[in-house]
Amino acid sequence: MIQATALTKRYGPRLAVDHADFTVAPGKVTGFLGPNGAGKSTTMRMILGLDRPTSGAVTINGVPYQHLAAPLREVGALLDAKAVHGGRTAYNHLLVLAKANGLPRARVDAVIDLVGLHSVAKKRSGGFSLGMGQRLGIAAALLGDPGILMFDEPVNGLDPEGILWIRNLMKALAAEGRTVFVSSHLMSEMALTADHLVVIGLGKILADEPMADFIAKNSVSYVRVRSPRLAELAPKLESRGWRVELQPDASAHVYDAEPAQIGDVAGAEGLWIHELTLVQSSLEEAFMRLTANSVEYHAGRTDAQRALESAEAAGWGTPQVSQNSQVKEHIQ
Amino acid sequence: MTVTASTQALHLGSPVRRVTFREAMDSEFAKIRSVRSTFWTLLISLLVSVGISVLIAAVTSANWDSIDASSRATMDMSSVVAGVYFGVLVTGVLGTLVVSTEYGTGMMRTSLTAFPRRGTLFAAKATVLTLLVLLVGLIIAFASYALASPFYTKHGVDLSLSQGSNLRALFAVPVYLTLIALMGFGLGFLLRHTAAAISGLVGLLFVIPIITNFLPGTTGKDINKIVPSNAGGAMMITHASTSGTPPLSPIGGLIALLIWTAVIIVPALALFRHRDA
Repeated sequence: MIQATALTKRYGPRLAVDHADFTVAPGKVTGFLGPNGAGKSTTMRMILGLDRPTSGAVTINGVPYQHLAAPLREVGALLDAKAVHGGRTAYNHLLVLAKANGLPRARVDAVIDLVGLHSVAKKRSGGFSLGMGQRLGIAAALLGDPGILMFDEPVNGLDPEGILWIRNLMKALAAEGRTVFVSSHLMSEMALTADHLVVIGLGKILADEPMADFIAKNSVSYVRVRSPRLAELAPKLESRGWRVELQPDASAHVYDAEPAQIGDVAGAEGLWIHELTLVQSSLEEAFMRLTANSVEYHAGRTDAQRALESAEAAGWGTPQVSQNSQVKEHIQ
Repeated sequence: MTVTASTQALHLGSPVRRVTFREAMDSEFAKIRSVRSTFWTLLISLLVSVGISVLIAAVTSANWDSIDASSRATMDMSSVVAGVYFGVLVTGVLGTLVVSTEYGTGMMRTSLTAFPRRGTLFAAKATVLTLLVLLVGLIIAFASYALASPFYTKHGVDLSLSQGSNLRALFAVPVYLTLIALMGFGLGFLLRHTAAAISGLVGLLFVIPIITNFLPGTTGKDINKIVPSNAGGAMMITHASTSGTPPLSPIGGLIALLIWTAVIIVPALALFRHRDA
């Protein structure tokens, strides 16, 4: 259990973390989601006692990190896979950490086997690929058989096999009753792994709720309408109190209405319809909307454009029909 | 590499025991043993110190007849271990490296995650460094004595170890090396950057003495006496002072060095405890 109370970190005039209150509970994967620069890493460093909060507090099982009897037995963290001395072998790196917490040598062998680094254990970690470095960092996190695990952007730069491996590992760890806290700036990644979501933007906690609630609350839908007589149809739809947005590609997005209702209106007016599609926005878009006002570095575009582009870049493509059901399939 | 994650091999049965200074020491020893730079640095300090001591001794001995009487009178145990004046930079650098490479690589954050009680970690690191440099310093002192002293004794210089002052001068070598290593260590924590900390160390050991030497009047000379290299030298000198400004007494040299070390180490510890890692 990780508990933050009014946790605040100020760097000069900038509030990196602003009175953050959240709880990370055991037995599930909690996603910590926010755009770059939102304060995710700063928060994680404060949890580990690396950075001192300006005010407020964060505790591990009720105790500040510095006061844990044997920290690695309670918390395993992968913040930065490159935070190792490259001249030391993977085995010796883990041995150094094991000794700092009085853990037996056998643990080093056990975690090396678990993450599949056996063949390179005696090689100096400076020559490791990003994926091998991540595995070494995860081995270090698992060394003390901790009840709490923290991963900062664990899938960044990994190949698909590595990503799948980390996802499954996190779920397996949570299924064993451990607390798993994982940060990401990709909603799509969170949707696949997290059971609970803490969203942070410009240092403020914007959401702290179960994933299912977040999805239900934040996914908006609209109906895409194409018609050769759209100019006549649009006022008729608006007169029903539905919001109509004309699109540059000669279609219209109609909000607050079911496809059948729109079809009925068109039929009653004798207007032809070429397309009537229910579109549910992706979670990535929901996240973009939530954090739209708290992104630190805006690209020189409108929010809507950016949201669309980012959603595509994240591998979600343009909004599709029944995005939600696809997500749910992945989760199962 | 397997795709499926199995955590079955993971469970540690033993109860959680509070980690102490002992675990921090074990970990720091393991760190020092497991990188090559430590070994090379210590070997180089040994070779430089002993090698230069022997070289100076051999050259002095060969030119003995052309050395005037007042210079001959200054030949003592400090001449036997003269190479230490150079080797000290290498052990100082070792003190810096055990800290600054951790900051440079980011390992410090990993170390602090494993052992977050910073005061204890600092003490463990300092203790391991102290023990290591004391040991190497003893080897340097007695190896220099064994190899370089015959060049002086054959010209009648009394270097007998039954003389208390001679033995004191030899034991001053590991003490001097250790205190300078601790200064390098403190600079590593203060500056958190290898190049900056080593520059600071070089300034302290070689630049400040030169500047103070050129200061006019007795103030410059007085300051010059207490700079680390001259304070360290004072601990190794056994001959009675001759001309010019007399050096500090051996105990005075030790006190000056301890003050220098404290002036660097105490703020280093305070900053390490309070700064974000």
